[in-house]
Parts: sequence; C-alpha cells; structure tokens
Amino acid sequence: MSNCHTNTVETGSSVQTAETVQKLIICGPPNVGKSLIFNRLTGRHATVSNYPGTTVEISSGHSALLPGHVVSDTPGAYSLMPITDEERVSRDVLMESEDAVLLHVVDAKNLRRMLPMTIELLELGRRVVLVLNMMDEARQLQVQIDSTRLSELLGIPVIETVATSNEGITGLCHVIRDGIQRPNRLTVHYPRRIQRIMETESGSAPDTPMLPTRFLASPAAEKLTAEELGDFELTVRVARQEHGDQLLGQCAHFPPPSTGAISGLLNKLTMNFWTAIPLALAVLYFGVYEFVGGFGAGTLVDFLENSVYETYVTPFLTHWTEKIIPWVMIQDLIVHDYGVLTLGLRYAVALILPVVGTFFLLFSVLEDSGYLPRLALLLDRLFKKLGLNGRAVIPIVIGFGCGTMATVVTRILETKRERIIATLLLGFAIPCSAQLGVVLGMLAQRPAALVAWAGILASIFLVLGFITSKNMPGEAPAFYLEMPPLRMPRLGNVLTKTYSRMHWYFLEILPLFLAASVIIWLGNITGLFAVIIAGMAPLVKAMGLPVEASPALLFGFFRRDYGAAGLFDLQNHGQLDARQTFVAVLVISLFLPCIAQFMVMKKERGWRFALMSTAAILVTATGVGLGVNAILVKTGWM
Amino acid sequence: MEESQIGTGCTVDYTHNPSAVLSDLAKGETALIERFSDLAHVRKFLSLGILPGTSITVLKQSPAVVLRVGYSEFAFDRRLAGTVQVRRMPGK
Repeated sequence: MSNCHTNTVETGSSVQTAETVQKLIICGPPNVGKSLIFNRLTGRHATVSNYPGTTVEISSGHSALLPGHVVSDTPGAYSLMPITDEERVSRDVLMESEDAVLLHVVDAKNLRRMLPMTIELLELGRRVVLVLNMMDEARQLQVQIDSTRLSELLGIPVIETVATSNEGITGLCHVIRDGIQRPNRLTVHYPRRIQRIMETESGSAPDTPMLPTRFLASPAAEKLTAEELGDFELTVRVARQEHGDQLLGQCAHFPPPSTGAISGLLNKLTMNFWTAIPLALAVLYFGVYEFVGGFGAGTLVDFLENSVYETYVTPFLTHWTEKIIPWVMIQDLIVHDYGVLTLGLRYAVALILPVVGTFFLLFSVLEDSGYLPRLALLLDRLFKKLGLNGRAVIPIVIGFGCGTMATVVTRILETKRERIIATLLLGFAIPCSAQLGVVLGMLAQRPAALVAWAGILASIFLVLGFITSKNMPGEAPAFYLEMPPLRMPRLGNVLTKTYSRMHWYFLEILPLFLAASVIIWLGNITGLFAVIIAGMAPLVKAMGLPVEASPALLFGFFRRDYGAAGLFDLQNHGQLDARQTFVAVLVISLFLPCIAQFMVMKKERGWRFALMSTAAILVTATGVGLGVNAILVKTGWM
Repeated sequence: MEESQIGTGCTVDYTHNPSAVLSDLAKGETALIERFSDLAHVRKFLSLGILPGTSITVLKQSPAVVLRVGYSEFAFDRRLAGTVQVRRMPGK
C-alpha cells in the first residue's frame, strides 16, 4: 500500500490523506547533529549529546513542521556495515524502508570522510537528501563547498544547515515538502575481485549485478572469515571513497587541517594522565559528593521532605482521607505508614526525584562538554583488565544515574562478552543515583565510613570484573573512539536533556513506586509480609541489624532505591547506630537490581542470565553484610 | 584538498619513504595510512571513516594513541594502532 505514493507527492500539493504518510529517516555518523535535527523537525526532545552513542533506540515522531511526515532518528554510523548492535539496528531500518526519504546528515567540514555513505545510499537507489550540518564550523575553517554543484553531481538535494541556531531548517522543510524524486541509481566501480567474491559466496550466476551492501546484509556474507570480511569491506570502502573524492574534487576545497599539538589548556589537562586523574577526582568530589549528595540529597530532600511534604502534604492528605473514608484498611492503602500517597508518592517525589534530577543535570553538563570520551581514554587501560574497553565508561557512568537506562546503553559495546561483563558490573557494584543520594545522606557525617563504603564497592567492582574477564572466553576488547571537541555546554540543551531524562525516569519509576506501595499494603493485610519478615529475621539479626530494617530490605526487592529510602527513614528516626547504618547501607548498595533493571537484564541478556546474576547478587550482598558486620563487631571500629 | 593518493588499500610501496606502524610515531608526526595489517580489525577503522590514503597527525601516544584526522580527533588503543602501517610525511 505504501509504495504507491512515491510518485504522487507533487509540488504544492496540500492534500494529504491519512494513508500517504511519508517516512523520513535521519541517518549519518555519530555526533553530527542528527538528534538536534530530529528535535527541530518534530519539536520533541530526543537526547542530544556531545558523545557518540546516545541514540540507542530508534525514536520517531510526527513532524511539527512537516504535516503528513513521520520522522525517525537512527543511531550513528559511517556506513551500512554494522559492528555494534546499535549500528545493526540502523542498517536494518535503512535497508527495510524502501519508500522512506533518507536525510543523510553529515558534519560539513568532514564531508570527505562522510560522503561515502551518501554514495552507498544512492547505490541502493534510495531517495536521499544530503544535509551539510555544522556549516558554521566549516566556514570558520574556510572549508568551501559548492553545494549547488554537489547537488547536480549527486542528483539529490544538498542542504546547508546549522541545526544549533536553526539555520537552513526551513529550507530543508521546503525541499522535503516539494517532494523528493527518486534519483538515478549511482554506480561505483569496484575491483573485479569484489564481484567474484559475491558471486562465489552467494552462488548466483556470473555477471548478476549485486551490491556489496546487499551482499553484506545477506546470510551469504556470514560464510566469510573475519579477515576476508575485513578485506572485502576495506576494498569496497576505498572504491566509494575514490568515487566521493573524485566528486568533491569538482566542487569543494578543504584547507589542510592544522598539524599543531592538542589545542587549549583544558583539552590538554583532560588528556594528560597526571592532570586528568586529579581532575576526574575533582569532578567526582564537587559533582557527585557536593552537588548530588550535598545539594540534591541534602538540601533539596530536606526541603521537599520535611518543609513541604511532612509539614503540609501528609497532614493534609491524612486529614481528608480519614474524614472521607471510614474504613481503616482503605485509609491504610492511601495514607499512613505504607500508603500510596504518603509512602510511594513521597519517596518518588521528595526523596528520589531531587537526587536523580541533580545527577542527570550533572551528567548532561559532563556529556555536553565532551568530557566523557576523555574519561574513556583515561580509563581504557584499567577497563581492559576488567574485560571492557574505555568506551564502557558511558554505560558505567550512566549506571550511577540509573542502572536500567545503563543496561540498555551497554548496546554501544562491541562484543557480547563486553556487554555481559558490563551488565553484571552494573547489577552488582554500581549504585544508582537514588541509592547513592540516600547513601551519601546517611554516611555524610562520617567521611571515613563513606571512604570505606566506596572502597568495598570499588573492590567488588574490580575483583568481579577481573575474575569474569579471566574466566570468560572471547575476543580481547578494543578501544577506538572519536574525541569530540570540548565545548561549553549550552544551558538550553542541558536543561532540555535533564528534563527529558527526568521525564523518562519519572514515568518509569512512579508506577513502580505506587505499585510497590500497593503490594506492601497487600502483603501487610494478608499477613504474608509478616511471615517473610519473620523468616528474614535471623539473617537480619546475624548482620547486626534491628528487625525494623527487614521491611526496608524486603522492599528493596521491588526497588533498591525504595529500600534505601526506607533505611534513610529509619536512620532519621534514630533507629540505626553507626555500625548498623554502615552494614545496612552496604547491603542495600549491593542488593538486587530493581524490578525495572531486572526486566531490562532479562530483555537484553535472557532469563537465565537475569535469574542467575540476581541469585549471585543476593548471595554476595548477604555474604558481604555478614562478613563486614563480623569484622566490625570484632574490631570495634564502629 | 588533502593531497591523498588513494590506492587499492592493499599495495604497499616499501621502496621509498620509511614505513612504520602508527604506535611507533612520535607525538606531532604526520603520516599517511598505507595499509591495515590485521584485516580482522580493519572494520573498526572503517567504522570511523579512516581508510588507506588518509593523512593523520599523532597528538598523543599515551594513555592511548590520539590522532587528528581531517578536522576530527580519534583515540585508539596501542594494540589497534600497532596494526596500522603508515608512511611518514616530512614535517614542517
């Protein structure tokens, strides 16, 4: 049904029926402004960052500027030859949607490196618009591109844009609205060898025209060894590059890039080992400890929890609920100790949201500044010992915000082995920001305990990574990453991203918090929890904790942070002493991933993996709790 | 224009200019990529748009090799950088 409208999109035609929805797919290399163009066209907030690999899932939306069009954004790639899962996602989407108009977005100054993919898309006979984005930077470097001539040479529209300042977006919309004709199929001349390999492997008749891209996406290509595949792709890419260079020779001029050293003091400081380590520690101290821990988990939580919620909201809700609803059992569901509104909603809004919000704000600043790839560079050697490569800092750092989101982001890692190791480490030893905020709040008064807590967690992280990487077969990880320039983060963009992440988080957690409240209420009225808690009591006591900590630990099963928040509550009411606080905090930090993270683990890695790692996590957390308590009691350190 | 002569990607001319691997170059040296000796890893370079004939400048060798390619910068670990054969270009 949808392939009949290809030629019916006419100039100036304003009649669009519901059936002729035109698909627009944004594609191109990482970090060239695809998500920003997506946002401009749809008026939505896809997350835009200054590091490769933010768009893990395909996001789509109706275009606000182009009625009757649906725009999709794809993860970045330099060609349709995928390495990582996310690149495979892009390839499949681009290969499947024959009728879509492809907006191939490139960084104008790096057009030479990026044009081969435009050529690849045109070989497939797709309708393409080449978007030369970041024209401001190209102009500054005195790069000259005659886009009219390039458009004639390629037979497709070529549009210059500066997405950050909205320049050229209207022009782009005009071109799309006028309809994109299917261009003449472009032919690249490959060495004879390439044709022969394709014929041999796919068993097709000689001289059947075949495209390398289609061949590589077919099962026939799986018969090639890694070396043969590398050789094949290299030869194909070189031929496309030659084709592109020959075109650019007629319409573009690129002044030689500077051959000087690394520019900028800050850039130097972030890339030199001896200055970068103190800088990373400073970011950790001021960003995480002072800003997220002190301001988010301290000042903001105090204000929202004590000055707003407990002073006004809870008394108000309790008063009216008790007045309107006569049944105590139903009252308990809504208010009182475990009420949906006084526990679930309060935890979500007053305890967790400020912490997660401040973390995401910090993370957005770091990612927009281009600091994360530098951190990846710095930590690559350490991560190699854990069976990961430097690129894994991105999911790991996100894990300090939200383990669920981070588990999805492990898709940017190349090998299955790395994805498994990263998922495990996220589940075991990376506390999410909600836990982190609560932990920082609970241990803030005793820096020594905080250091010990961080030390134990870091040791588990390192030991677990080291053991897994030693025992798991597979290819050694490789590190290769683009280093985007350091940029001053733009306030608008930082706020937009923080907002969209908080929005995602809130939609994700609020229902779970409320559901957990209901389950706890059910567990309480049926007496089921009393039974489980009684069963847990010996273990909890063995860890030296008061029996009151059992519910918090049990509820931690529904969400780690939920349990953490419960402990925070206990401590605030003076029910935990120093040693108990420490042990409880440690156990809850190591504890089961929340339900959401468990579900994502299952989705990405399968049931077996999710269940087995969950069991291992439970055992480790309990074991560490028992051990640490025994040591503390014996030595009397706390 | 970069005066890059793009070959087939697999022929090497060892007779002229001294060849080296990427991880041997000194900081600040400029070179032309000649070939990739480990074809199993070549896709990692291709995925960043780095091909034979590309001119590169080494910005750092530690903790990983950092290159300027065109107007962008890239990092590779030393093992990967060791698979790239380059021809040194006369510096300024």
